[in-house]
Amino acid sequence: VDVQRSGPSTGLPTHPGQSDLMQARWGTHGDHATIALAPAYLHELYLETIRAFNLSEKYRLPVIVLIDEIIGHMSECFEVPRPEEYTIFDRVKPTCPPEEYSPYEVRDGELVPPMAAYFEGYRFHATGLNHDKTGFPTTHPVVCHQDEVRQLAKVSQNRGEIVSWEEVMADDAEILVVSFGSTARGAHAAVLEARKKGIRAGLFRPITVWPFPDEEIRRLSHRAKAIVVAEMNLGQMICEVERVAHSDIRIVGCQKVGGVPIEPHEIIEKIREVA
Amino acid sequence: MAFDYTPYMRMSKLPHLWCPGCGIGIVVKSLIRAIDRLGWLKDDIAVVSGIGCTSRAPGYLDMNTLHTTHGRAISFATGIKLVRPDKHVIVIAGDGDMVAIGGNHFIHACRRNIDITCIINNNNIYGMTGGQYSPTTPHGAKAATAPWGNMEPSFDLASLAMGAGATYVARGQVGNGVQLERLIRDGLGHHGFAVIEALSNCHTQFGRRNKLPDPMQLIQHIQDKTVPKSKADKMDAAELAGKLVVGELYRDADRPEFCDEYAKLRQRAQAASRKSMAVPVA
Repeated sequence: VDVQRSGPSTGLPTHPGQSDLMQARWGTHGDHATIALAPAYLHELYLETIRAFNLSEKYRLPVIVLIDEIIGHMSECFEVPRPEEYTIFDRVKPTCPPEEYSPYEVRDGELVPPMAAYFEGYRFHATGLNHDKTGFPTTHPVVCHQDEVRQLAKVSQNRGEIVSWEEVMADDAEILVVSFGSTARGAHAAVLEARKKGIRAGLFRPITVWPFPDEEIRRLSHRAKAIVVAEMNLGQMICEVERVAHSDIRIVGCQKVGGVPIEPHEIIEKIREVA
Repeated sequence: MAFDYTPYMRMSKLPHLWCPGCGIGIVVKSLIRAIDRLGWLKDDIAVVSGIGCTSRAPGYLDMNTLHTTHGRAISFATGIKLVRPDKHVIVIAGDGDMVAIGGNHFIHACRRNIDITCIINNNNIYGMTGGQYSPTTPHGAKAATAPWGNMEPSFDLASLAMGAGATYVARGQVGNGVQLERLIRDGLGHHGFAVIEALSNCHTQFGRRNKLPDPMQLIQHIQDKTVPKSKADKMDAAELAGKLVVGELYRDADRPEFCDEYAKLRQRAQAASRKSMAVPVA
């Protein structure tokens, strides 16, 4: 769980920021997939945390819950979801006898190996070194390459299940506001206000920020005239939007750091600039 | 009849990667014999390590094994132990891993007195990465990063463990596998954080740079520096200067153990929570 503050290094403790977006993706070394979820409401935070565990168990990788100080400190009323309203996914365990178990072996067409628990008869080895399917360290180039490709594919080939977002009047939006976390709540208000003033604004709020909702942004960018990316950093999500959006579309950032939230009127200003 | 180690090892993963004559072999074999004497089942044992030559040991053991990141074996081992306090959790690592980068985890495990057995193969060097000096490299010794001699003083690992609160502390050396096996066995059987420092030889990296390139020569040198506790107890400070005491150095069976304390806390918290709620909690 990363409750983002402002600023690099020790920064501004107890002040909000959204500048760890890229760190959530690339903070650790090596080629690795990342799943990061950025809920914006406490009810959503509750369910997304459950989903984070589910995704982690299903795909066997760490999942980051990426919120910010505003969400971390806020009080909000919500009805706690009852167990019947959500599912719990537990990791798939092996069914073969221990002698036949290889902890990192996948069947054809599958990507996630069943994972045994310690002390249940499957005495396997787990290591941070590159390893073969028995879990033992290896430096065999082909084995290492293929295993890392499989690890990335676990996420890239399951985007449909992992990516999630919220759209508010985005279908016919001329000015698309892209925003996540607490900033998106202000962006939501800005979009409603802009519509009252006759501007066809819409909001696209990624809830899954990694993997980034490439297809959805690409699709919406064909219909819109401009995109405003509102984030409490000096330009991180905007890089992703620029990467996938239609090449002719105008993309501007509404960026503020310094530990204070971006207010709806600031986002409306930017919407007006590009409208 | 010679002891058969093969039931405890992943034989298909041999030959191992250690240098001929490495002291780690003696430490690992002493650990295996100790486990055998205790009659423990392999399924009930987790062996956790960090990074370094010593940390490669779990890969060769046919138990529940985990090879983690540098200095972090204790963090992972703590997680395993908390989930299954009924199982045996062993940490095996080198001096650099355990008391340099891992120093923080080490002192807190000692302080908490968590029921884990921590075996430190202390060969006074970072062996795998080419012979850099560690917190236990003797003052004045040469190393890859101390070409003019190590200017730093070195830790006394056993004192560090005792000072931090470990409740079983012992020191052995690879020249005496029988004693090492007994010390490890007693540590394994101890209910609390047990530290067994095994003075060991890295003739390839440490020895070669310090005029002790032959493994037997280096082991003899290590042995010559040691004095048994029974004898040391009768020696004064002057006589003990430069010596390392071997044997069981400290034991306290009465201090509260971490997992036991946690279980008590949970019971207390759940009982209080049941009392304060209007409806019964499952």
